[in-house]
Amino acid sequence: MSRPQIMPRGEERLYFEALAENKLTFGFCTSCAKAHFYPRTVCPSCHSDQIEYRVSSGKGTIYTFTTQYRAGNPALEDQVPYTIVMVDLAEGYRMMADLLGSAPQDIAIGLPVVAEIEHPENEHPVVHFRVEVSNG
Amino acid sequence: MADKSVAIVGAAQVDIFKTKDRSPVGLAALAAKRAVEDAGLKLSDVDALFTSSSYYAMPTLTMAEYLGLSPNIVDSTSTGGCSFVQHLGHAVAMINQGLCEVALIVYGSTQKTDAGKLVSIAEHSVYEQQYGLIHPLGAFGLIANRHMKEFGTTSEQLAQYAVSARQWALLNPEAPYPTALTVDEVLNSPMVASPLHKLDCCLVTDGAGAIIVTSGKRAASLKQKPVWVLGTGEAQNHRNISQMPDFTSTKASVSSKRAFEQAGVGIAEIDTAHVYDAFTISLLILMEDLGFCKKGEGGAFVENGRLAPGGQLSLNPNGGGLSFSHPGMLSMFLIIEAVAQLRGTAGARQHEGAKLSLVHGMGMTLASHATAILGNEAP
Repeated sequence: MSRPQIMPRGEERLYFEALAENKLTFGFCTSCAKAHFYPRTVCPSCHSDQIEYRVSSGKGTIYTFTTQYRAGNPALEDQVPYTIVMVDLAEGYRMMADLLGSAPQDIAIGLPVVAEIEHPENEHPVVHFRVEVSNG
Repeated sequence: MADKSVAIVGAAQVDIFKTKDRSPVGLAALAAKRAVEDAGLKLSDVDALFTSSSYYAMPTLTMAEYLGLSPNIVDSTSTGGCSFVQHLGHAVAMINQGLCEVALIVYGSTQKTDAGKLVSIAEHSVYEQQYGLIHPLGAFGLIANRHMKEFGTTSEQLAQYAVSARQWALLNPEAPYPTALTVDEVLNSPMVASPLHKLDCCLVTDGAGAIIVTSGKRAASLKQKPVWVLGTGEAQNHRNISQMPDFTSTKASVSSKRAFEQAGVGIAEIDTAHVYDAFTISLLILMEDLGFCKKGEGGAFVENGRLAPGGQLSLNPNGGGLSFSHPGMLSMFLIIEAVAQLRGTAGARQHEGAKLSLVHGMGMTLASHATAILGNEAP
């Protein structure tokens, strides 16, 4: 699957390098103990620069979503309709990604989801979410 | 007239649906010329230039070069669609500081001629770009679904605002679609980014607009009855939609509070409101945050023709972004319509005896906010 091309720099590059090792990372401020995303060099809450890039469980719930019937980028024209989600992660941060494997009518706010990392050839890794199937 | 009073003394809009043989800066230049003529001034009187653009990375340089101007001070504050309401607040401050006397705020766009695609030189976040969110529509889909979940807002309610906006547009001879709209037509238009349909979205048009702002002292000797800038306020909280802290509330509450406090008036005194309606949902959330209704009650507020002609509030009487004109950045045209209402020149859509108007610009995806309170009685 080809994706819109990106050019991450600095701490952005560190994030994608971690993804390449199958680690979804987020910013954690050791001064105020708050998580943030995207990972920053300065904490957006207390403005400390004591930031760790921690590895996330990838587990969360859908905060909101939209299913697009038109592509937002020519590289994704063969994917429509596709669903973009905002996910509240267990570690206390929120991120955007897309949701795979669910029909539009089955998607709802509050559903539990889990991240998976795709490693396309010669492109940056991509985080996706899928609705978590309960084992019980 | 107070010492620090500042007024809008000229206004003009050009080719607000479709232009021909005019570039974005060329179209803006014509709006600038007509706005100074409207004021009874000349372009050579302009000593401050304010502009923002989706085409030009250094738009004050581009604009001044094109017009042969050499302003004393410029401001290209670029916060998306609300930029021009921010410029207005900044112009007031600069005039009161004695940094300039005659400020030109100007904008031009040829988005419709450019194949109807939203033109933007804006960069993308590496944390969002891979997902192909349609900017800005996809973001408003995310916002609308959250508002529906939290407050029970429905697609029918959103459609009702689109219908009211079209009813207003039918009173405006310059509006492009001279036929009424129904709720069913909105709901049956193609779904683009759930839960938003094509007719929940603004038009994509060409258009240029300009206003001239000057001191109360200078205004006294000019052609038009001044439209006084009684209060302004601005606030912001994100750049990228994924960073919006709460998808159902905005900093419009902060920018409007500042503007109302400065103006010394309350929301109940407002005769006409000019609120950024890029999408039905953006209008609805802004009405809540500006205080026209309570948080979460926007859906009920837009029902029953409350915002249609003859309703409770004269809101976007020119038809707004949904049914009049939306050349990329709307707030210039919100100001120009408020000026028309306060001059009493708005024809069939005139709010009789309008004395006070609220203008609220929103930029990007509910990211930045600027409010102005305008009036036709000297402060």
